Amino acid sequence: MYTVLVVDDAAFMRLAIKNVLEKNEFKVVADAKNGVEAIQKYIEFKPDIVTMDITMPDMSGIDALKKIREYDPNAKIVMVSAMGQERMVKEAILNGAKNFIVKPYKEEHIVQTLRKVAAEN
Amino acid sequence: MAELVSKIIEQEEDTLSGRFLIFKVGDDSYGIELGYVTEIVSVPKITKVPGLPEYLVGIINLRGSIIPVMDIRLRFNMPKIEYNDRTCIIITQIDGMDVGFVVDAVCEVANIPAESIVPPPETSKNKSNFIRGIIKSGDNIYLLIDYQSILKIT
Amino acid sequence: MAERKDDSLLELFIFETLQNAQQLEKIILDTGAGDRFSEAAINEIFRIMHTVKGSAAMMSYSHISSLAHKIEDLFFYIRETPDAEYDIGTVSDFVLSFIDFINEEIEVIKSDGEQDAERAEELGKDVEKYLSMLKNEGQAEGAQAVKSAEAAKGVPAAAESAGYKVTLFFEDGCGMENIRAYAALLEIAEYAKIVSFIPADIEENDGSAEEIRKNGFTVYFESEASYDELQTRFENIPLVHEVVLTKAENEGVALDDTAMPAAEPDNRVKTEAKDQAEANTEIVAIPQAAEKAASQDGSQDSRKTEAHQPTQSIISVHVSKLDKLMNLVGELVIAESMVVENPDLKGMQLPSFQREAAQLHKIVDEIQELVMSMRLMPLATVFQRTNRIVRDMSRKLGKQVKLKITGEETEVDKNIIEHLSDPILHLVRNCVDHGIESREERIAAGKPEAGTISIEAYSAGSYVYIIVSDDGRGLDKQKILEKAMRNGLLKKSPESMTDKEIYNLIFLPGFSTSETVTEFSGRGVGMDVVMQSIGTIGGNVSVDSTPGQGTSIMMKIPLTVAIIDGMNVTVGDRLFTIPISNIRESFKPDLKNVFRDPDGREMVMVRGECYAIVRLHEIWGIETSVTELSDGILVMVEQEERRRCIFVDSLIGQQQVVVKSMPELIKRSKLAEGFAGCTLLGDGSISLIFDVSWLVSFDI
Repeated sequence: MYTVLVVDDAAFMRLAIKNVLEKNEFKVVADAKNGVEAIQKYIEFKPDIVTMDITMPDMSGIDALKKIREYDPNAKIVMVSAMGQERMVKEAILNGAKNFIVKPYKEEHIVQTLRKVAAEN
Repeated sequence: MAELVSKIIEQEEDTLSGRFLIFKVGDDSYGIELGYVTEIVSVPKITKVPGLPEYLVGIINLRGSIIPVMDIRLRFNMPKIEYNDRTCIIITQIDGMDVGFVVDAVCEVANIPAESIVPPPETSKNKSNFIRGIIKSGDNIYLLIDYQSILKIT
Repeated sequence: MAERKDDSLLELFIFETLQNAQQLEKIILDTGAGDRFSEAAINEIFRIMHTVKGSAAMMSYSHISSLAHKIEDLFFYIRETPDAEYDIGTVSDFVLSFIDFINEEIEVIKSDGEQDAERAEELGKDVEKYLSMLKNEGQAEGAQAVKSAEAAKGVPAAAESAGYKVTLFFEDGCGMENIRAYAALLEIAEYAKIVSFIPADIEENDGSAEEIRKNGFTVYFESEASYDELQTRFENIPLVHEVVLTKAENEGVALDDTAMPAAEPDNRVKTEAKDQAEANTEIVAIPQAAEKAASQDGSQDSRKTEAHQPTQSIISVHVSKLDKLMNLVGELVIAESMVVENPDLKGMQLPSFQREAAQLHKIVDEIQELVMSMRLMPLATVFQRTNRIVRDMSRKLGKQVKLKITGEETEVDKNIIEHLSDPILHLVRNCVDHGIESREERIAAGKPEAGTISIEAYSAGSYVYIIVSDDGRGLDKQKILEKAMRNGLLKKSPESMTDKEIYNLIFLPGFSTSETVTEFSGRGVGMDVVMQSIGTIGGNVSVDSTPGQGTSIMMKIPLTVAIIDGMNVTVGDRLFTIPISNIRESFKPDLKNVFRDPDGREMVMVRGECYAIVRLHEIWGIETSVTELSDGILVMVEQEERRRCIFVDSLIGQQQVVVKSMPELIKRSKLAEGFAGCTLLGDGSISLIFDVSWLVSFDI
């Protein structure tokens, strides 16, 4: 059972991801709707893994990624992006994101990805 | 081939008397005064215009100008064939009026001295109205188009 | 890949590559003076070459790709070697030749012709030769990155490590496979030494995702880990569906050059990928560094100046979208009036509804105006091309020519622009070739050594004026008169002609004043073609000149030609246009209201009145699948109180159309009655415009 922090500015998306994850071996312990909240919740809940939407108001997913990684260099963060955001995904990877999911995602994809990333040492 | 001939036309507009554009329709070769020819193009989309005789197959858009097109085969009552890569439209202009002629293929530009032109025989009934002369050039026989009569649309 | 996708991919390739070529040209021409390229220019040129290389490779145009690669290498060297002694003229010429090649190859590609691989190879060899000459002359340390890349290539495998090749296939539909491949690569670099990978352009070419979907992502690497360890690691990469891992026995870790021509860039990424653990900010492959450097250079933000108008933001829109938008707006206007003037509302007092309807109308009007204005394009697009011509020609002819352009922001309908470009380019060619004298002649005449050609545009009233002038030798009246006389073009006696009249003789067909056919101008055929082109858009041309001082040619283009609001309709595969002013309404008939009168004519009843139905497909023998009235549309047209209902297949939409008269031959034959003229639609097809007075009165 892995703990997850879901970060996305759309409530619908947060719920959708939560539903998928909780059908499998994940427990969503917290969610956040922007980068600032994401950092706070990460520090508070110390989840095993984070799903992070790339484009958000107030602080982008990439900035939040950097900040969380500063705080915890072992943080495991998987980006959630839309098609056409190749440059941003690449930048995220270079800044420490472990992997990424492209919307619209297939359930098996998001589960498999989180599973494999969480299982890495 | 069409491009080569077009180039010749472009370069040689000064000394046009006695020069003819030779083209093929069916088994015969025809000639038309080079002076009437403005360019040669491959067949673009032809828009049919209702109410016209069958040999006026329609109009085309040539760089913004609308040009009526006559199919020589149909004009001469020959069976129509599918247009292919070699089919061309010879764009001509006379008295400020543009007309295009669909021909099977464009062959060459020939220099023909006026003396070599003989009047047409009374043979093929279909074409004779439109032919104003016959030329023998080496082994070749060309039928000269009577531009004025071919354009008399009834 | 579905045929459709292929087509739109090709279209996009053509569009982007042409745009890139244009941009390249602008950079080269802007650089013009001076003997070094600016840093921003080098980076931008490099970036463009890299992009073209990648997309051409993606489309399998390997000759284009490999040539771009060679020029990319040249600029890479220039960038990395600050004191490289390159000759800017020679290097510019390489790029310009490349641009010419691209433009021509794209035409060949568009028409499905045979591509010129030989020419690309030859040019490529020249570039390579030049580059190796530069390298030999430069310092050995000069191209550090190139050196280290080459060194990296040659580094022998560590004692225990072996060469491997792995091909990874990702899960179907996971998206952004190229970035996945990139991420995988970074991971692999942590436990292996990467030699090369295919496709190589995963970072900058999102199109490589498609290739990865088809053929997987292949990496050649060396590692000390065991086969099983490696297999497991690969399988643990998220969303990897299949792993094909082979140990290299004898094949060695050969770079597979045949697939992608990008050997060196691979190694650049590789050496930097390895450093990932340390400085994150340095891990940008060279192309990105180029972008970064370019945007950091405050003075020339090359990324932003794609449209090369520093203070405007401009996006590219596909013409078909614009046309669709225009049609939709046309339909919107009709739909709006169908609602607001709906017969159901007749007689009702609806003040609130009326108010809102007026508001709706105002908005729709504004949208229509805005969309119409989108068709306007600045003349700059045409004028800028003259730069290239002047440069090329003046160099070849050994003349010095300056080009002055004013008023290029003047806007003109996009259809008109197409008719203007050939004439203007031709006129400029003429100026350089015949108008401007040689340096010696000019100096002898007390003129500045460099000739000046000015292109000016402005709009006044309902016309746009474009003037192309030069300060060259002017026209020779005598020669013109002689030539006109020789060609039988003189209609008046020379004495009664004004200078201007004499000069304007040059526009008559069959005229020429140049004695020799030059490479550029042909023999005066151009002038009457200029006349024709301007004529087709309803404009006219005139010329004036002062011997010894120069010549100026003025084109006057009307902004409004006969334009009407027309409704485009289809019958079978034919297009027709009905003037909106003649349309009363259009509707799908209720078969209950259709009957035949005593003479057997089909009639339809509309609100108590009977109207004859005109079946166009029957009258004109047009093949169509729409023969049932319920499958098509009836359009009620009216002229001078007479009304009939025309049966068509469908309404395409309303549009403002430029009326062109029917060709002379057809008019003379008096045979195509029923048509008032024709018009060219956005895609070049012809639509015939109905003569409604004939439609409502001919014998059915």
